[in-house]
Amino acid sequence: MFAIYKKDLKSAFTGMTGWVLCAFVVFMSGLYFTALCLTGGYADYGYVLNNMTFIFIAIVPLLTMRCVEERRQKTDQLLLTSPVTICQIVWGKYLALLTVYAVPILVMCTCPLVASKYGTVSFARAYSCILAFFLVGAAALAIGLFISTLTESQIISAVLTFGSLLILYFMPSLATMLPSTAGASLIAFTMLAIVVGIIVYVMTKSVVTAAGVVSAGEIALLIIYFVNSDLLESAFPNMLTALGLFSRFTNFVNGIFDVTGLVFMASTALLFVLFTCQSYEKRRWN
Amino acid sequence: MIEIKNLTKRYGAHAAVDGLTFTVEKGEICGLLGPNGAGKSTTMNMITGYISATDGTASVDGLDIFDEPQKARAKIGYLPEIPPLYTDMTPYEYLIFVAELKGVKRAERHDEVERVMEKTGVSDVAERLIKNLSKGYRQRVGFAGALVGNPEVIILDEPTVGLDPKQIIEMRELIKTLASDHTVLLSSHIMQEISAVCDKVVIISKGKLVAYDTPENLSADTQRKRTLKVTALDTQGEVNSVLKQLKDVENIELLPCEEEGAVTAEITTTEDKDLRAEVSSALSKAGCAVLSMKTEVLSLEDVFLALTSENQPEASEEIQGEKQEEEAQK
Repeated sequence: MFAIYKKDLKSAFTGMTGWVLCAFVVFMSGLYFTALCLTGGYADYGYVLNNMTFIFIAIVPLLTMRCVEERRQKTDQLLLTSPVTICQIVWGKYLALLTVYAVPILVMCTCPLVASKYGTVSFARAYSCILAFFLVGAAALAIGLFISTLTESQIISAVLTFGSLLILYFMPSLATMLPSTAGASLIAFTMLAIVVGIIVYVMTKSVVTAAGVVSAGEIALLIIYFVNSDLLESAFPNMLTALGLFSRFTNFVNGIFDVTGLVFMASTALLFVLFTCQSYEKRRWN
Repeated sequence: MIEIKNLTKRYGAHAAVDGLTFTVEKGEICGLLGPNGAGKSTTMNMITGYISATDGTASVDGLDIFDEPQKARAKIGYLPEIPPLYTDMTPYEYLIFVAELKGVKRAERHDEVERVMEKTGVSDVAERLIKNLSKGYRQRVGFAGALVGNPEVIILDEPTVGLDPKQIIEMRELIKTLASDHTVLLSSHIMQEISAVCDKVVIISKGKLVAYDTPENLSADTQRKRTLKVTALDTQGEVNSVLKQLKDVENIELLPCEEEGAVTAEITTTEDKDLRAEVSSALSKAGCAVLSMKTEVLSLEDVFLALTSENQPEASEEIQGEKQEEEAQK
């Protein structure tokens, strides 16, 4: 694991990618820090970070799409035939990505110190925001890493990651736009079941399994709908809001140390790293 | 050392490798021979655990590659068809990485890398970026990677592709030197290579095993029926009838001859019998002077062609097979 970690980290900083992305994040944070804190006089570093959540949509696809290269150059053949487990490979890669991303975060950590020169700064609030910001990025990177294992093209990987993160970013606003009646939720969940069914079909190539998944979901939905339709009242928008990765971050900006939010981010990251392992494993069984 | 039982890989209805069974003993060099798309790479990818098998087992030194993958892989050094190189590293960095990946202890890494670089002759390019190296050097760096950690089993997928003739000879010598304390499985579609270095040959075609023996036996096997080519003066057109009277002649085929008044006959004998003396005396008795005579010795190449053309795939199928094999590697 450590070998892959070192190799990936080194290759990120041997080429331009690592440096350019770090520079970009540092530059953006510096820009907002200057505008909001130094010039605007806000003592709260959270505002700077709140304005910067969009950077994940830009940098995560660029960082994770490089993992596709491994497969295209067939170097994964070396990794997968060497005496390390798939989990070790994936963790090595993921931790290397995290480290690249941690470099600008460390630079950001100095900003509240600078601001404290000019006034009173709540360090607890500033650093809990930075921690949450780091975890949001960690979750986004795990999602990107997973998507990169699904395709063999860097472009497709980048576009898919970009799209997924964009949807996550706008999830809360999307949720408010949807009608909240039970019937609308039923339709939305039905569509979701069909999408899941299609994914199951693509992965297993078995019509029976896919149809089984869809009909099981649909029957459960119909039972809930006819027995107690109140349960479905605005259930779909609520689910979307709950899954909004970025909206969790807002709590920290507002000065709440949201433990559920931290657990949500960390478990999203873990879940997608696990998915990545499974995706690697699945390739072997094609 | 390497035991393969009923190894099968299916992609839908197409079987890339179909029920392959063979064993490679310790210290042996075994050649996997077959036309393009025969399933050589797929077989090797299964032995090294890169892809799964649909059916059957592969084990190295008694360790099943699917049940105990880490332990089994630790015993294998693998050079795939396309060397898995990180092009933005130098060979030295790359090999250090491979050594670490294979669990070579930190203190021994440098010496180990120096040793394999020395062996494969990449020491003089150790500090250049791999992306600037020629195909031959890249191949050697990949080979060096397979040797790192001194694994007991070395698996090489077409190791001499892209090398110049001198390098090919060097590579063969190198493979031969490995045999003293390693077990080697190498694939190729070039016959001389296999006959030059291998103790055992496995010939596969369309994923099926068609022959498994030593190169000598293989040539002998298909040589039971000898062919004798004789060119004689034939003014009265009696060569054919004279030859027909001889014992043990199964078939005579008259071929056109460039020399005027002469004819060339290709004689197939029923058994492994040398008919040269009989043919020569019979012909001279009949007044047909023998101009030349030649026994055809089957090379491994002929054996290979004979064996693989028996169940020759149709062109379209073969292409499909290759495609699927490629997909498998992805």
